[in-house]
Amino acid sequence: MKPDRHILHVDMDAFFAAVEQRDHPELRGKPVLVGGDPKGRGVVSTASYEARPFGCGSAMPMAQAVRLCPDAIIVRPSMTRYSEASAQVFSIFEHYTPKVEPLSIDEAFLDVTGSTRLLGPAEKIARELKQRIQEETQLTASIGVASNKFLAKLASDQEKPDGLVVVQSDAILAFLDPLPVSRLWGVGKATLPKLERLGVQTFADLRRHAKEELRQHFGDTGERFYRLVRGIDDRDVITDRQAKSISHEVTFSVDVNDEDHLRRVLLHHTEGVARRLRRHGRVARTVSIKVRTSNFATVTRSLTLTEGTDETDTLWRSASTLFQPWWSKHELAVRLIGMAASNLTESRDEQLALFDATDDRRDTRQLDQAVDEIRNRYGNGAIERGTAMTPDEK
Amino acid sequence: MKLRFNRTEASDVLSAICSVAGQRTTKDILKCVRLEARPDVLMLSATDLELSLRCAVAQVEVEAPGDSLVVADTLARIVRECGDELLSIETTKNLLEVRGVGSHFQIVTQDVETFPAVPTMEGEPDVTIEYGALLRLVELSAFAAAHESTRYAINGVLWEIEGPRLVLAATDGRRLAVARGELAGDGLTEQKSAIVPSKTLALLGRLPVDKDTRVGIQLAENQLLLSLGRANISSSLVEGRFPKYQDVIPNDCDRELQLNTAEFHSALKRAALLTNEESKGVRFAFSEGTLTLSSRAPEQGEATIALPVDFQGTELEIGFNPQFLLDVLRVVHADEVTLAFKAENRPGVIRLGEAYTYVVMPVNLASA
Repeated sequence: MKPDRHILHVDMDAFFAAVEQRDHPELRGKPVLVGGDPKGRGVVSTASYEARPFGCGSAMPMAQAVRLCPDAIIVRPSMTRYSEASAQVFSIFEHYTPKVEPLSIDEAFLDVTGSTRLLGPAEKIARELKQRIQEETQLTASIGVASNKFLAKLASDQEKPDGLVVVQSDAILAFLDPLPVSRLWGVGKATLPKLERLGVQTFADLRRHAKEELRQHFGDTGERFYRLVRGIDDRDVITDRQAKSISHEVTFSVDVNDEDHLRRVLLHHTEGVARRLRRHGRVARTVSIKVRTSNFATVTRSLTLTEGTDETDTLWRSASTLFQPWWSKHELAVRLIGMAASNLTESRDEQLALFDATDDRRDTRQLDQAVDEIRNRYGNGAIERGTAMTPDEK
Repeated sequence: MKLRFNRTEASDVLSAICSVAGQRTTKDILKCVRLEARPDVLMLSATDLELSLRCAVAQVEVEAPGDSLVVADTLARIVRECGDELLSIETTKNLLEVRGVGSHFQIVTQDVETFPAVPTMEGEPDVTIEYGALLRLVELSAFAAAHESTRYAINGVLWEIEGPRLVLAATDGRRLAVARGELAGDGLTEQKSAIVPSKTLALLGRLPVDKDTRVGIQLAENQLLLSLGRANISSSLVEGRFPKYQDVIPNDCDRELQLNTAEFHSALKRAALLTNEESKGVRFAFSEGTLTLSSRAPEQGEATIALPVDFQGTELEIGFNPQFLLDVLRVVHADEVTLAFKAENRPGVIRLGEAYTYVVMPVNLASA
């Protein structure tokens, strides 16, 4: 085990709904459901905390949520404002540590080990961070503080919303033991019934099983379970600068089989990934997409370019080239879609190109720069690619 | 089917067959070679549905004609590994037996009827060219094609029949190779062009065909057909529009010099030693009488190589990816090449007389 690390897991509370309540005062204190159309196949993306006691949650068809909570106010998501708030929160992180690993739009790991000498104990840093997020964005975050990623993530979830939970090194087992085993990283719909058949309901139950036995039942995953229930997790916080790949993915609360919607999400991912590449002065040669279908089969497709790139356009053309044949062949309902850039190097010399390049490519570069600048100054929502807009935004 | 054949002869044909028969295909039938024994010839064919090869094996004695279908790779390896001069083949119900001195192989055969038809040329070819001349065009162009570009058209090589010439052009978007060769017979009055997959060009280099064989070329709809004496190839074409390559061949280069190919090649190889993925450009500094090549790989070191050249005029610095130039210097087989350029952000050109033009875009060197 690595000694004395201080890891924060920061998770924004009911993020989409909270942004809506912040921007629309009339929604404050009321049950809000952010998501699709209740008449169609729309689903709930986020339910505000006021809607949750009614049983509304983010893995639920909107129609069902409305039946549970008829007074709920339904709001269509506006990704641009959420990305803007997200950028604000992430820039606050950078005041506390350069070691930030973004997990999604509203969630990140921070390794503050190196910052404690200057800024004080991790708990104090977490408290300040929460306060600063609240002051600057009028949003609340829940933070878990622990000696590794696994524990920090469990801790942040412990007292949501607006929580701060510190797992002290001498209280790890006391913290873990009562937790239901479904909270264990890697336990899903397939493993849970298997664990229940073994009579395992809590972390404490699982800890009573020998390593060999878990290995027998679950292979390598079993060995990981053995370590995790003891609070052992050596994974580093990987920043974009060190990352071997940069990826964005999203798991839909309900399977999506609308091609336009999937393409739009994939483009959003691509833009996010490209921007992270450019921010860190890196170029990618390999582009991958990942698709998980409703039957939990996961497909990845990737291609390698002759030249590394950080251009949104080139990355999008590649991602789209990978997605199209898969979609036209299968047209399956999709549970998760993601895009990754890997094979990363620092961009230095720039190879000029013969055809589109001479003119088009220079334009692309200027366009990317201009978009980045606008977004850095005014937030992600300030400017949008035509193809990324939903029809009613155009 | 029963026959005897010369092992080395058959082995050459089988290795060409294996470059067509799919190794990675999921369709078992496409992994197969079809054997057709006729009174005095054995024809072998393979196809991956886009590229097909049908080729005769010389030096065969056929006792009983017949057809058979077996996995190409298996048969090829058997024929390659046997030391015998002669081998015999005989088919029984669903086995193909290969016998040499002391060895006896029985391979399971597949149903011949299920093998896809292999198209062959009907009627006269559009034009003909000597096999050796065609190979040369392929050697000078194919390496410049893109491999996995999302612009599919440039993953292939453009073939253009223009009057008395065949022109092959390939590009990966950063460099362009254009090779021009004389046709053997009459040219065409109309212009014809097609984009041919790289795999087809690679196959051309592997055929057991004499250099002076006349190659018949026929461009049919969506298909290129080639007759090369004992071998026949049919290939699907790459769809899409090849970029207008003539537009990027510069005609305003005002600096030009003759370079000794071997010296230039060697100097460039040395300079390339200190480049890497992050810093792949070599700086070409031209000054009166000298070309200085320099490179720098962060955290590794740097290289400077001076080469006396016949250069006059104002000094100029221009960066190139050395690999793009090494690629071309390896295939020119000429004592001297012409290097022409204009400015640090404009394409450089390597020429071999009128027959060959290679355009390469520079690299914007990160200011070190």
